[in-house]
Amino acid sequence: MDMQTLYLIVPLAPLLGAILAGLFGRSIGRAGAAGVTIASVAVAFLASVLIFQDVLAGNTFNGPVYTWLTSGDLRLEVGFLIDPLTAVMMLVVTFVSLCVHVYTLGYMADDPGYQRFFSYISLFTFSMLMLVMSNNFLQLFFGWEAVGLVSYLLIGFWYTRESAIYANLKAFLVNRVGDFGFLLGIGLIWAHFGTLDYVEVFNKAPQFANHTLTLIEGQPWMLMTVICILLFVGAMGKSAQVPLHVWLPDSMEGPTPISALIHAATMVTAGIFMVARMSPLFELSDTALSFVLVIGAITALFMGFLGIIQNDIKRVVAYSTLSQLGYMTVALGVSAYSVAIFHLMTHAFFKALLFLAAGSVILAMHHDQDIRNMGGLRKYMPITWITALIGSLALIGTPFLSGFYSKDSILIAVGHSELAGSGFAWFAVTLGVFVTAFYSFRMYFLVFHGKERFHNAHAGHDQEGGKDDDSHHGHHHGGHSTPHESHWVVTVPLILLAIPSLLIGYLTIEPMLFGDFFGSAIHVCSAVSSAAQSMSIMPRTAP
Amino acid sequence: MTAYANEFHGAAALGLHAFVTLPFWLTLAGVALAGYLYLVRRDLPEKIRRKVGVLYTVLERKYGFDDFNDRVFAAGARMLGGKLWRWGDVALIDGAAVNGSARLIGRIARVARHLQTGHVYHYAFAMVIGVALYLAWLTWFAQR
Repeated sequence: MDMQTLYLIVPLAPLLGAILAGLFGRSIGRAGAAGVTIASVAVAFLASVLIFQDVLAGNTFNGPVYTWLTSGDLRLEVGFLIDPLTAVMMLVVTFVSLCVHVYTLGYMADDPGYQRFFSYISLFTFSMLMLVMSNNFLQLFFGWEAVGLVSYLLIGFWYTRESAIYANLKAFLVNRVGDFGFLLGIGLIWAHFGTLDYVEVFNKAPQFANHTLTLIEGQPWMLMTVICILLFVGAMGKSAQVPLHVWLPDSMEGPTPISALIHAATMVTAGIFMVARMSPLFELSDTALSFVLVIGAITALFMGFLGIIQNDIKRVVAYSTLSQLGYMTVALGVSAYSVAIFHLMTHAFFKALLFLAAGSVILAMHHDQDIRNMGGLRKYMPITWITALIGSLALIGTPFLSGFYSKDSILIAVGHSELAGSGFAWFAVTLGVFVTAFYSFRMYFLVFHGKERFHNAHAGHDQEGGKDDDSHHGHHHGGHSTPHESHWVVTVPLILLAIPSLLIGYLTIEPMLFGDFFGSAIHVCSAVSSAAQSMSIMPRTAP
Repeated sequence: MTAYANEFHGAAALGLHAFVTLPFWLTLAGVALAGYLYLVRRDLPEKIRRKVGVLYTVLERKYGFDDFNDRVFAAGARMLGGKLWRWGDVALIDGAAVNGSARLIGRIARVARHLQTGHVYHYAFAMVIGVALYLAWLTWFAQR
């Protein structure tokens, strides 16, 4: 089989799964829908592994697979750009998606919308893969909107709840604000470059480095600055940066598996990926990079503070995600694109792990999400406990765990930067380390250690109503019962995610940050400050 | 990043080096503080919360982003929509355009119907005047 067929299989397999489960869900039944989507994502994962190996061997691809329409100079195509950056994203997306598919078997077991859910998450996997594999801005925008659509559908999955409908409308509207900027940015690129193909745009970009644009008479703007800031506004919406972050905490109204897949590991990192992909453009504007840096620093610190006072287990993790996305954005701001992608990858594993562990706890607590009502759970759910501990330790940056390598690299990169705003950013991300450790272990201690508070809490649980009450979920429990470890379909994904959370940073920091792994996929301009230089160019000094 | 690349001596060395860096001790302090407040002195968080009432409220309200969006953008959009509906839809389109044109037709018809008297000699007279005017117009132009 040639590689091009393999590239096509990766996004099309989940699409097929989504169609089968979505349109024929009634005839193939619950087990059929689950089976076909899990199989399709497994195929996509295996194909991604093969492609990753092929990319490691030095093969890349850039070309159209289908021409949608041609009109004058405008050529709209579906095409793939397969390079190390894409290959990493494909592996992360398909692996986390596969774990979440398996986990869903257990988490949604009693839900009447079982087939619909599987159809949506497969459709999401397809959309996200189209986004990361794209070789042009049109397909990027298609994937961008498609993941937004699925996110909207999944936040409002339990559509009978008032709060879920409110949350998905909010997510949709806030993302439109970001998309407005994104679309204007793409429009400017088309207007000035005359093409939507990445490589052509990147090749032409240096000619436009000193181009100005006059919107208001006598107020010229650097063209690249305007384009980059507009594109970044899109990233701010999708990757939930202040002030367009407001939709992400509310998106926790959706089922936990999608909080892990979409609102922690993959979709929200699309903005980070996009900026890294556009590095040849961002490198041409220090103003835009400073803007990115400061927005990221504000998000990293101030969203961390909010994590401290949350009592809903999923909201603690949600604010943690916001803060970590801020860290990635800071790395982008100081031109350390490879570090941002490195943190994106490690974060995808340990944050998906934390969310799925939180989901396991929520199952044991019969859908009570208030951490004040938990405590002492480590005795009852040993696998969830150990894996959540690993996730927390990775998140706070314990030496030798994956989060440590990526977060420490961001701190060092910011420390070396001379860009305007880097002083504030350094302060924010350093203080953020303390805040992260505090809120993570506040949650960990309240959930797994200390006094068992759930015996008293459950009596009053039914009166709490609202979002805590999942009565239509089919859980009918009288009085209080002892929490117990979740089913294997829940714990196996936890273990599968705990392994990379422990090891992946240690194993991959050298090739990703100091080797030639990303090659030309990430462009760092040698003219910018010394801090930004040779993340991937400088040879590593021997130990 | 040049400096970082020069400092980098392998993943293990970076891990060992961490124990003498500021972030590591900040992390440890964060974990220790969380342990102290939520395992040892469980009464303290409540007391701290009461001490820093304003700060807690600021965090509780999430810096007011949601309130701002609700009051300015959401309420503003609703107000704008309401105004547009009342002035644009109700007053301008329904009032002036739709009902207005109907009223205008009515008014014209009220005047015009006086012409329709039903008397044949009125119509004949109108025809004679019309023919006269037409001939006058023709001769006027024929002279030029």
